[in-house]
Amino acid sequence: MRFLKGRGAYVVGGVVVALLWCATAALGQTEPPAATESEEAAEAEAPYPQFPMPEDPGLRPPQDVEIVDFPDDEGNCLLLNWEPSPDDSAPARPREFFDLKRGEFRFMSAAHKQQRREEWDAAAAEANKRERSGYVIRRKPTSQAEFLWEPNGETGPVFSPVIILPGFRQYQDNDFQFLVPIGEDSVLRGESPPTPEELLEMREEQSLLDPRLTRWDYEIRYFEDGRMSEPVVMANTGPRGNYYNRKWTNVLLMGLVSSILIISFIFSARSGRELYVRPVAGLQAVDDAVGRATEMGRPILFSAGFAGVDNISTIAAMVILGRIARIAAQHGTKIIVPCLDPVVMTALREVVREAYVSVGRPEDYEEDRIFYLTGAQFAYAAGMAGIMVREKTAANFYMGYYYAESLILAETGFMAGSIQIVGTDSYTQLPFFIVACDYTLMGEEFFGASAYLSREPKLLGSLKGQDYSKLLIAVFMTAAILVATVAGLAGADGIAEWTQQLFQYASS
Amino acid sequence: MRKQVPFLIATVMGIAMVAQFFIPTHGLVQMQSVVLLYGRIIGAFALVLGVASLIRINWIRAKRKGEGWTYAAVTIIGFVAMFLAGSLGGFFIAPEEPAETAAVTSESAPAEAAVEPAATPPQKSYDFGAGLDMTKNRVFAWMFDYIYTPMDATIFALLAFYVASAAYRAMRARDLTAGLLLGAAIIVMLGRAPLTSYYWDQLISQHVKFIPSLGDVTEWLMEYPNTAAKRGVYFGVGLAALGQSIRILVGLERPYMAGTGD
Repeated sequence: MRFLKGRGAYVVGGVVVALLWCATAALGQTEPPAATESEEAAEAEAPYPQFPMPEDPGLRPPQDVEIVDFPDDEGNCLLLNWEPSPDDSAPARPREFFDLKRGEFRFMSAAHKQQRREEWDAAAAEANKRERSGYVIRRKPTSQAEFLWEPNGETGPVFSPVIILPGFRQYQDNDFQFLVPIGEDSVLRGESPPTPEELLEMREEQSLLDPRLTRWDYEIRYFEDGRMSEPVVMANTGPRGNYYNRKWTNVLLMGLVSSILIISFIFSARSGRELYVRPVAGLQAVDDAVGRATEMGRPILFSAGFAGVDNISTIAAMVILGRIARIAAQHGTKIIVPCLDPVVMTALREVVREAYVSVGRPEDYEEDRIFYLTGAQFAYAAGMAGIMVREKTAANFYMGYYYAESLILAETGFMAGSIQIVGTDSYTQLPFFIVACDYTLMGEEFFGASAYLSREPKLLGSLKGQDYSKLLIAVFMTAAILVATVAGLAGADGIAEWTQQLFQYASS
Repeated sequence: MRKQVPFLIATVMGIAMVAQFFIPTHGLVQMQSVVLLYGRIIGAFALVLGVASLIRINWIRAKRKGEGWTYAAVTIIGFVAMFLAGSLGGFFIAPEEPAETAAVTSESAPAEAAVEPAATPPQKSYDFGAGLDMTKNRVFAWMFDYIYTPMDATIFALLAFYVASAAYRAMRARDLTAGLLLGAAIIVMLGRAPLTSYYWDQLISQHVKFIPSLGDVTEWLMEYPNTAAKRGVYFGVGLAALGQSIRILVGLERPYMAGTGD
C-alpha cells in the first residue's frame, strides 16, 4: 500500500474520479425517443400536396379575405387575414401577430410560443389525417399577366406558393426581399438568402423588385384531398413604410421623461444651484493612481475596451482618457494606450494630444504611445499582458466594453503589482473585474466618470437628473407590480396583461 | 467655425439616428445604412494607419534591440508571412472542376452525354466574393488553422488558471458578504458540475424530502438574485448612456473634438 502515499494517492484518486465520471455519464445518458412505426408510416404515406390540383366548385374558398399593411415597419411586409372556408373543419386558430379587431399587437411570450408550436403540430397532424388540407397562397406583380405555378423565365418572376395549415386565418408575407429576381428562371429562396449588402447591390442593378414601388396581386384557395377551391383574388395591393413605430411608445415616453429631467437639472446647475453627488471611491483613486505612477517613475496603461468608436462605452472611455491624460501630462507621466481598433486609435491620439496641448506641454506628447496592437481578442490580451510585465506599469485603466479577456488583463495586472481601475458596462465581466482589480466603476458610475472627475456643475446636473430618473422608474415599477398583482388576484386579467405590456420591449 | 461645425454635425446626426429608431420609413432606414457604410469605409482607411503604426513601432523596437526586441521581430515576421500568404497564396488554389465536365471526361459516359451539358444554359451565380475566399487559399488556411488558432486557444485556455486564482482571492470568507458570495459560488459550482449534481440528487435529494435538488437551487440563484442584480445594472447603464448622449448632443462633452466642451 506504499504506492497510495504521495503522488500515487493522487493518481489513484484521479482514476477513481474518472471512473465515477464515466459511470455517471453512462447512467445519465438517455436515448432520444424513437419515432414509432405508425408515425413513420403515416409520414411516408401522407402525400405532399402537388399543385396545381383540379378545381372543385363544390369546395368553398376562404371568407372575408383582406390584405393590410403590416404596421410599424419599413414597408416590406403585408398581412393576409381571412375567415376559414366553411369546408375547413379544423378548429379556428387565433391570429397571433396582429389583431385587427383589437387593433393591437399580441406579443409572444415563451408560453405563447410553446402554445403556438403545439397548435401547429396539432394542425399538421390534422392535415395529415385529411391527406393534407389547408390554404395555398400565391403572389405576382400586378404588371404580370397571370399567376404561375411553375417557374417560367419568359413570362415573369414566379414566387413559390405558400401552404398554410387548416384552421389558421393569417399569413404574414415578409418574403419580399428573399424571392425577387426579375427575368431569372427561378426564385432566389435557398440555403443562404443574400446579405443586406448583396441585396443593396442587386437593387442598384435593378435586378430586384422594390416591394414599396411594386403593386402585387394575391390569390388564396382552400384545398383538401387533392382538390382545390376557386381562388379569392386580392388585386393591386402593396406594403408601405410607416412614419412611427408604435411598438416603442413606452421607450419613447420614458426616454422623453428622463431627458426632460436630465436637461432640467443641467439648467438648474447652470443657474448656480449647489448639487450634491455621492463620492465614488474608484474615481477618487484616479489621482492617486497617476500620482503613484509618477512617484515610481513608471508608465500608465490605458485600454479603451473591445468595442468600436460607435459604441457609447468607447465614447465614455475617450472622455475619461482625456481627463487622465491631462493629469498625466501635468505630472510628466508616460501613458501607453494600446488599441484594438484603428479608428479608435486615431480618435484616442487626438484626445491625448489635445490633453497635452491643454496643459501647455505639447512637446511631451508622443504619438507612438497610442498604437494599434491587434484586432484579435486574445492576441490583444496577450499583447497587453506582455506590456504590463515588460514595462512594469504602475497603474492600469480598463475603460470600455470587455469580453472574456477581462480576467487575463486584470489578473496579469494584479500579478505585476499595478494599481488597477476599471470602468465598464459589461455586466458579464463585472464580477471578474471586481475580484481582480482595486476599484471598479460599474455601469452608470463609468458613464458618469467624466462628470465626477471634472466637478463641473453642468455635468453634475446631468448625473442628478439620472438619479431622479432612476427613482421615477423604481416608483413606477413598484406601482405597476402592485397593480398587476392586485388585478391578477381580483381576476381582472385585462388590467394585469395591460400592465405587463407597458414594460414589454419589442426587439424588432 | 472650428468648434461650431463639428458640434452641428454631431447634433444633427445624433438626433437623426435617434429619430430613425422610432420612424421606420424607408428613407431613414436607408440613411442609416449609408451612414454605417461610411463608417466601414473610414474603418478601411484607418486600418492602413493602424497597420502602419504596428509596423513602425515594432520595426523601431527591433532595430534598437532593446528589452524584448525579439517579440517585435516575431510580430513583423508574422505580419509579413500572413500578408504574403493571404495576397500571394491564391496562386496555390486548385481550380474546381465542374460536375458536368467530370461526367463528360468519365470513360464510362456515353458519347452523347458529351453534348448534353453544353446545351444547359449557364446559371447565374450569386456567390459574391468567391475569388477572395480565404478558406480556399490553402497556405493561408493552413497558417490560420495550425498556427494562429492554437495560439489563440492557448491564451483562452489560460483563463481557467486565472479564474482559479481570482476565485481563491474572492472566496475568502472575511465578512458576511464575502461569506454569502462563497456559499453561493459553492452551490452554483457544484450544481453546474454533472458529477456532484447527479450524486447529490441520487444520494440526498431523493431520500430527504425537504432538501431540494442542487440543480434547482442553482437555477433559482441564477434566475432570481442574479437576474435582479443584472437588471439593476441595466437600468443604471441605460440611464447613464442616455445622460452621456444628452451631454454629447447638447455639446457639454465633445469627445469627437478631443475635448470636453469647455
